[in-house]
Amino acid sequence: MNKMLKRILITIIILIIIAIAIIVQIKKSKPSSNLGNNIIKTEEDIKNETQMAKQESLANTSEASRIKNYVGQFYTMLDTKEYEASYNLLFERFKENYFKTEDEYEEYIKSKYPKKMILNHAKLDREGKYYIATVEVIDALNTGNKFSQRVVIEEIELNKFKLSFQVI
Amino acid sequence: MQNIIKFISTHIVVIGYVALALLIIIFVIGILQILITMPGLILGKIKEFVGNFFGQIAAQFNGDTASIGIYEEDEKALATYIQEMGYDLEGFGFGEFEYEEVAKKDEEGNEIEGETTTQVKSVHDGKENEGVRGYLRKYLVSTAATYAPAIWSWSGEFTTLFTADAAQDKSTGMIRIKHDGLDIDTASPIWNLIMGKENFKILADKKALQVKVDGQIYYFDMSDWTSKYGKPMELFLALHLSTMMPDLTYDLATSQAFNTKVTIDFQTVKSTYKIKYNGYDQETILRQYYRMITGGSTSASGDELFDLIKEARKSKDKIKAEDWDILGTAFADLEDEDRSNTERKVNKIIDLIEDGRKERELYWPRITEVTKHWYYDTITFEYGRAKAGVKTIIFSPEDSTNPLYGAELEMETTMTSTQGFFYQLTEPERKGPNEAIVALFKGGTVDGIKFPGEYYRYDGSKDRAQKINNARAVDNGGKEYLFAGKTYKTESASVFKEPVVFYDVDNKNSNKNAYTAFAMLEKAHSEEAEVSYRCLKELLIKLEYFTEEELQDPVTQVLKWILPDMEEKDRKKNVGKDANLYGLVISNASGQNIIAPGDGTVIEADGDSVTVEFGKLNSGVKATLKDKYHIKDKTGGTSGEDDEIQLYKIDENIIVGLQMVIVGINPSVSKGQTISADQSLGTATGEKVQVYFKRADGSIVDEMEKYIDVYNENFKKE
Repeated sequence: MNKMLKRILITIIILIIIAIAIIVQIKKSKPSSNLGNNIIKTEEDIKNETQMAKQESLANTSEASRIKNYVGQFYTMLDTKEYEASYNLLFERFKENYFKTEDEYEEYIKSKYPKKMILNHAKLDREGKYYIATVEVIDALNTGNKFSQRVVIEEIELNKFKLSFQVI
Repeated sequence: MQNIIKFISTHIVVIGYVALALLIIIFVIGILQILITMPGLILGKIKEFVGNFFGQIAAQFNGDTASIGIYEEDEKALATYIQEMGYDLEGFGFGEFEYEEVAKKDEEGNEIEGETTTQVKSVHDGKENEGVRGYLRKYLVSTAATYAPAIWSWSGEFTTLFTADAAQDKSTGMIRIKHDGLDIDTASPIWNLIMGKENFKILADKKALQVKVDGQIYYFDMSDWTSKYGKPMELFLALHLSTMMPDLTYDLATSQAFNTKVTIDFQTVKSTYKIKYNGYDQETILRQYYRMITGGSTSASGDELFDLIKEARKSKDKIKAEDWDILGTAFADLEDEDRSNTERKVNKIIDLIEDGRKERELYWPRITEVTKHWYYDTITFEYGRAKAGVKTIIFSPEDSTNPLYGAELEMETTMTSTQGFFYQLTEPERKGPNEAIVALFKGGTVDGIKFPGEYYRYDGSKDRAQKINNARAVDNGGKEYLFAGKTYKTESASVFKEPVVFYDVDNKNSNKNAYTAFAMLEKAHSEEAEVSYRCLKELLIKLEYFTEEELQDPVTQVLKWILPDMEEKDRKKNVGKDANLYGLVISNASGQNIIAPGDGTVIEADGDSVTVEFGKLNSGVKATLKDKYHIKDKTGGTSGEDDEIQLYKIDENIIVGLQMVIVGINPSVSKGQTISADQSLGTATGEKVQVYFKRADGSIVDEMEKYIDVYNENFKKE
């Protein structure tokens, strides 16, 4: 019996040692949390991080730069064919007057704007809660092709805005 | 008839005088006619020639070589530039000027009817007892010194008779040239011609040092070599506008304490060279040539190969028409529609290769010392002596009749000297600030030169500028002073000199104007401006006008080059601009892999374009940049390397929101995808790829090289 007990005990001890060795090995192979280089970030993490940095940068910039940034965001949406998102930025009244449906709006944008755009911010005025920006829209693929356009913006809160533009 | 002959013969002398007088009148009228009708450009050239000639004569007496070639026109151009930046010339203490109303011109240079603008008509170089100083001229001269020779002169000789200084030290030029340890005068062509020393010449317009030896002309580019020790115009303007104390800047431009001398010693060496062309070494070129003229191939090398070529050339020095299709790859870019042209080019290269074996004399330069730099103590360069040295010389014929005109060949030149060829042992220690520059800001006497450390401070207004002119005239015992073109009687001074400060004149808690002025220096791209900017920042931190954090600039060049398979030498050839397109246009890119230059998100991938919006810098990039810019994490300790001033910082958000658009790409990524640096974005579809950067507000980034490393490969993959 004693012999049997001894064998069981020895087996248990060996099993415990093996278990400890496995646990140690697993721990070793895991990335250490204090090594910044090895932190694996998900796509979502990176996007959130960038978004936060952009938000922070906007909060620390001047009023004029902030409004120009909003104008830039709108034209970038046109550039990258984010028609729905850019349509949602328009004042309701403006939509009713000019583009009752998103399809109408998309058709207009496709027909009037160059494929790739660069903005030249010419003027920025403020009238009450509205900002009036005058920009020169330049075709990035043919700099000779350009036109001037006015954009009216209302900042609702930081990085949240509505706008309308001069229909040409 | 006889009477007439008699009259002439008796009055021949008088008639002769009359005829001579008539001839002189006609000649003078002719000269005047030429001068009146002569285009301004030619007249300017004559004026310049005469000015330079007398300037060189005068330099033999006063040693002032830096002033040669600086005219009132240059001062007016500088004054106009300052005006166009929005500074009132009198109000900001740039001196005294006269103005005129001229017709305004449109962008194309046509006059606009009915519109006028005020233009500088003339510049007063200034009399101290009238309260006027000619700042602009002094700035121009001090800047020109970077490419002017330091020469022996009579005044230099007399003023240094009882000192350890050389006469050349008093010259205004910065470059002191020696040949095998002996001074060479390079100021006056006349002097050099007489003395037979026309071998060395500084070509200020080319920013090069020209050396003639053994019938060959060599040029040494000074713009990224000796120029770094010069004082650029941007340094003077930045200091002038940040302190608003032009007299401080005036002293920096004129004091003997900052009369920098860079000594270049040319060593006479014996040299041979080997050619490299289009990346091919000369033996490969010779073997290809052998195949072209004989149709056979050879694996011979060294002398054996040369002997083979020599033999082959004796009988067949022309490329046979039937062999044309075997034009060696080394010569591929020499192919011409006119085959005889190609032949001449190829043969010229072979001639050069053969010529390279002959030992010829060459003068090779080395900087031995830099004295009286405005910021550093004397810089001494240490050299060892080697049996031989190898340097690459670029051969590019200037003569348009040379068959290789327009081509560039590398000459791997081996140099030897019986005394041993000098080679630099280590980078010299550059220590600063020196005593003189500290005294300029804080006051004190250095080597007998007294610096007040206090200066009149302008505030941008004409009122204060007038008071300062009055005070300056009083200081110099003047009874009258000049201001805005009018003369006034001096009164008791109502403004006083002040210690040097950098805060805004209207707000002691702001350094905004100083930062704006420093930006001028930062944005200048010359070697001397870069060094001066670094020195100025170090100086102002060490003198405690600013903290380290206040003057640190974020590192901006944080993006990699996008075509990793395009070699650096090809980039210089293939990367350019197009007037109708934004950004850079890259040629010969067809089929090449295009990578992401940094981490970001693809916000558009459509047809033949990709747009990436960049995010934060990742830890790997930050580590690389820290290494490159020697940025250390401050531990807060007090000793060792932590005390080193750090002029750069890493801003991990520097490119957040910046967009890169690539046109001419077959995308391998999709919209919304996050990407990391080095990740493939696709392949170039056609011959040309357009790349431009946009800011978050939609505007173009004019100098995308500020962010992307086009040429230096500082992120080259291991």
